[in-house]
Amino acid sequence: MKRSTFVAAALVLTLCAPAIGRAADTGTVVVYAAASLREAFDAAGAAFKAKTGIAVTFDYGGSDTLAAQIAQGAPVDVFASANVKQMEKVASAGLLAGDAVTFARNRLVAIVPKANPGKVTAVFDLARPGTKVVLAAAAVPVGGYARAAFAAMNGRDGAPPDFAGAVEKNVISGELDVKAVATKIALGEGDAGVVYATDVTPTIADQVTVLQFPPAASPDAIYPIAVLKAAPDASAAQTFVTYILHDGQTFLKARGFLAP
Amino acid sequence: MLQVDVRLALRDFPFAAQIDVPPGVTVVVGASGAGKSTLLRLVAGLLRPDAGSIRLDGRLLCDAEHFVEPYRRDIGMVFQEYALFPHLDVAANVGFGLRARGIAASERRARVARMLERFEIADQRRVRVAALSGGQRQRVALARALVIDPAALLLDEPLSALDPQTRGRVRGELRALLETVAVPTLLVTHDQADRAAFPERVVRLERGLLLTAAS
Amino acid sequence: MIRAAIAIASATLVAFIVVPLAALLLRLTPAELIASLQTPAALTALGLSALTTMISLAITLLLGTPLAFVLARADFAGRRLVDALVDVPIVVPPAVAGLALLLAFGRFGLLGPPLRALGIQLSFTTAAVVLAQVFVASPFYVRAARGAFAAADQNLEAASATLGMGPLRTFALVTVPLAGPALFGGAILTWARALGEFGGTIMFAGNLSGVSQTLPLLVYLELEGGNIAVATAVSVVMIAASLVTILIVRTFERR
Repeated sequence: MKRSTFVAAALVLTLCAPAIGRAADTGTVVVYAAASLREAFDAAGAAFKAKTGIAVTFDYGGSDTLAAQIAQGAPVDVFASANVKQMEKVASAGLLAGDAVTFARNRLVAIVPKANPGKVTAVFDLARPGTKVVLAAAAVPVGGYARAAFAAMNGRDGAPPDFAGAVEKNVISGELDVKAVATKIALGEGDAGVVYATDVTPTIADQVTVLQFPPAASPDAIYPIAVLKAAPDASAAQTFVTYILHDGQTFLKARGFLAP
Repeated sequence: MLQVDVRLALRDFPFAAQIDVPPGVTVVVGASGAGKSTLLRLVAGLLRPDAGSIRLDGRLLCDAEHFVEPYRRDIGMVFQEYALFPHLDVAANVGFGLRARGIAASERRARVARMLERFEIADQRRVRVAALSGGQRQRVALARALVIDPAALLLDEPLSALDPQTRGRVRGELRALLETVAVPTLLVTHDQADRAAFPERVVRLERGLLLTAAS
Repeated sequence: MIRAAIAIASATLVAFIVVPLAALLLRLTPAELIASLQTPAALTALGLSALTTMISLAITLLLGTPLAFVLARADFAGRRLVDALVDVPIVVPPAVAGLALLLAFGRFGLLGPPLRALGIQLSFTTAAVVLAQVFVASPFYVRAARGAFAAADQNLEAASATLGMGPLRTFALVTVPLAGPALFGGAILTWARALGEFGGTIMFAGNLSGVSQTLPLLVYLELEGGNIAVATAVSVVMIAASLVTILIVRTFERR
């Protein structure tokens, strides 16, 4: 008797196994969102649930990592990316249910610790020899944006012709995501870092000073959102996307995002 | 002459021994737990007495103020299970004390070779000690203790690790070998047969108390 | 019946472990593997990992051996507490280790001001990589060495003393050789743990090629950048290193 019970249990487990990987069936919308969206989306998700009764679970990370995971078949309903490139990657793999829509914009800023150990008072100071600059790795979107902005400043507004190269020489770490950059500057380990305006959250706002890039150097970052083909409940997923495009804008604005 | 007069509080009873050991073998008999190993460890410097003194040929080894570390006492000791170094071969075990004294390799080799000849274990010189028989181990332990020309010799139950068949034969060999040793020698044993083999001088140890006149 | 169930359960778990490893191995042809490893970033990370893990191992042996001996032999107040504390990094999550190091040795950490007075900044340096590795990996060696020293036959050390060897030479010529296999096994484990160290390194040392970008960081970063070939090739190297490590430790355990 005991034996057959064991075998039966083993059999049931085996039969259930294919279903275990699909927890998304339970009426929850699974959203993969760029790390910079964490605070805004957490707040929006709670309000969304209160309004519609649909629960949302978020997985935050670097957009490139998330895109790679989606391409590898991660069971995701909605993807909110911090740049167009990663969304296009998912789109070209044929994984989107419809078109991606821009729901927010963001802006690069330089941050320095309040104590300002590197005496950095403007973005130009990032090129001064010896300044300890913390960026995200070039492969991480914000790391790419930062380097593009530095390149755009080359020789302009009194910056040296190889401003970007001079900053690159000062880089002491290529962090794996934007939050890590913000944390290390807040802790004072680097003299300056480049993050999104939205990463200067209330938690660290009193620990850092924000410096603006020249507007021409740093175009706004575009955040697209889309429902994925794999979504088991496409209408719930679409409801969430619609919410983010309308009512949810309040939460994005509160966190420093710019309107689409 | 080895002059021992020490006291040490043990867990179960106070240990007190007062004995003069002249050159030649003195047998200390006593039941297990009587403090026989304690006596040897005190003399070797592996234990510190609470009070008293130990002198060897007039040299003060320890008293209330002084304590000569075991590695400066020049006392050879044969441990109960022989305590041979398992990672070294026979020759390296025997030569260990000479190495400690910084004696040059060539002289060391010669003295070890002489000692191995004398103890009839020259054939085993490159053998690891784990491969030796009980009797051979005992001879290596004795050779290792004597090669340094010690000022005194201590043997802790040198026959108890052997099986009964070999024990009788090895006892005879040990007796013959110890007859050639001219320094104060303490041999502790719980075995009455050992006592009979070394009848010249026997003392008794009972619950930490040394009774000099034993018979 | 029950045997079949056991066999299926065992085979399932073995397959679960083997399949991902095989997937990594089969992903690249040998030629692709070698080509991916010869990228400058991979070669630099390989060199940095080799250098830092060797230094970490040396520091661990130098400081860990006396510590293990004291823990195994000495009797002092708080020994059990020290004993337990030394094991803590084994169970602490890597990110916690990194944060702890940052708060201790960072610019504005506990020891930041005295270090700054000496003109030393540890965070974001190769030294920080080594510190992170020593922090998380040294307990493996200390554990192994402590056990070996506690189990050693102290009569052999006593014999060495009566033969005229002082404490230091007795330690070097008797205690260490006898504990040798266990010490070696512990050292190998420590090295392997240091090689795989990620969380503490990224938190405390950051990520910069040639300075702090070790092999595990490179794997993560190449994945972020979508460069799966290099990530896979480096992973294969690390799995090979782990396998060799485990085989060496097994061989020594059997002796």
